[in-house]
Amino acid sequence: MKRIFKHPLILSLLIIFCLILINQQGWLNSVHNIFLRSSSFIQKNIFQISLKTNNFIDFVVSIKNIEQENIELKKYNSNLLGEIIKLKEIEKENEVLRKQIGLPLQELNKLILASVISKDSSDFGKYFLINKGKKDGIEKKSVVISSGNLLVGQVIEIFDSFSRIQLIVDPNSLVNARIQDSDIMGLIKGGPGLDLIFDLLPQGKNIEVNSAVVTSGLSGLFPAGLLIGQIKRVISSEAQISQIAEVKPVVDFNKLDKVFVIIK
Amino acid sequence: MKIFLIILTFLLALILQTTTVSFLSFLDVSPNLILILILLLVILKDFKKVWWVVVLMGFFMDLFSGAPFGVISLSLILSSYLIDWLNKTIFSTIKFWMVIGLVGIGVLSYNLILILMIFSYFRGPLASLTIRIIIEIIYNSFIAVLIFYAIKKIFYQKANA
Repeated sequence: MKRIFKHPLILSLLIIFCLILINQQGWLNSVHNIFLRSSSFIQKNIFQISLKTNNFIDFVVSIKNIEQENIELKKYNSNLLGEIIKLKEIEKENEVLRKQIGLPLQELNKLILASVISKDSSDFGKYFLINKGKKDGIEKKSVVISSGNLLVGQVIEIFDSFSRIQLIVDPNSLVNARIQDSDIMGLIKGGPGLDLIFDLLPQGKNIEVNSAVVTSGLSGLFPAGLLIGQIKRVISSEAQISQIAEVKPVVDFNKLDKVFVIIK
Repeated sequence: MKIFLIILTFLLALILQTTTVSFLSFLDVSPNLILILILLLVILKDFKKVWWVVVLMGFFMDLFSGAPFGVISLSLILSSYLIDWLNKTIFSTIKFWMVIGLVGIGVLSYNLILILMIFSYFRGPLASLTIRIIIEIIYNSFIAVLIFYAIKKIFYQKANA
């Protein structure tokens, strides 16, 4: 009997099972905090250097197309400016109308700026570690966005000074979403790669490629109107009760270094 | 000294894994440095001698991962033990194709064990998951061969000098 417990495989499995049990009791939280705190400085710096090097390489590679891209972006920018002016007018009008019918003005969310320190150690899950935690007022399931109201994910694990974010591209992530300017609703799931799967779309509805996908706010977890991505491809089969679409996220998760956490 | 060097290498690999490695992704697949190093260590040494490194690195990987605690450690231990067993029973000398084959099997078994333990990762099209695992096997095996020859060159040259 003693021999079995001396076998390296049995011994290592026993150690891991003990660690799992200890972790379930929450006794490893302080160890977790110590490790994260001691490694965060090195991780943050190496992450920033890697990100800058990657951006520089991307810039060198795309230098040929930079002039054409610049022209296109200027054109796109002037279109967006026009839309912003139009939206501001609508916002003003909305405020006046809300006051007239006695509705309270929409509350603005409090945002906390955080830096990405590191990514997940396994390639399977899509998680980020940020440098803000319990001390900064972040709670579990807080929604994380990037500038421009683009949905990034939600906080799934919280430490004193750090939080772990589950990205929307993670295979375990689920977000209620709808196609903008329509009543077509579905469920956004993470796929194996960096694309998203828009599932449970009603059969018989026409879904156009490049349509914007936003949060529907149905579950109450994610506020409505956060931009998720654009429809890339629609997979429709009459044999199935719902349609599926592939969605390209608007956030470039490989280049993300600053995020905002929405505080309720 | 040797133990210190091994731990230092693995800790450096862990920091690189959580910061830099994701920028080296090919078709959205990043190499798994820790897995590659563990598999090479088991191929070059004996699992009996290095089991504690596997447990320690599995524990660190679990600490830095959002996956349920323990699943990475268990996958790492089981896949490295399988590779050690295959290495002892099937192969007698360390050759180029043997390293590729063993690392490939190691990466495949690591992923399969991980998937079996976390069924929810099956979400999404099964075909793209299969393609992803195939790319991961090829990419990790390629990097393993590079690291293997670098280790061989450094340590064999030192031994011959």
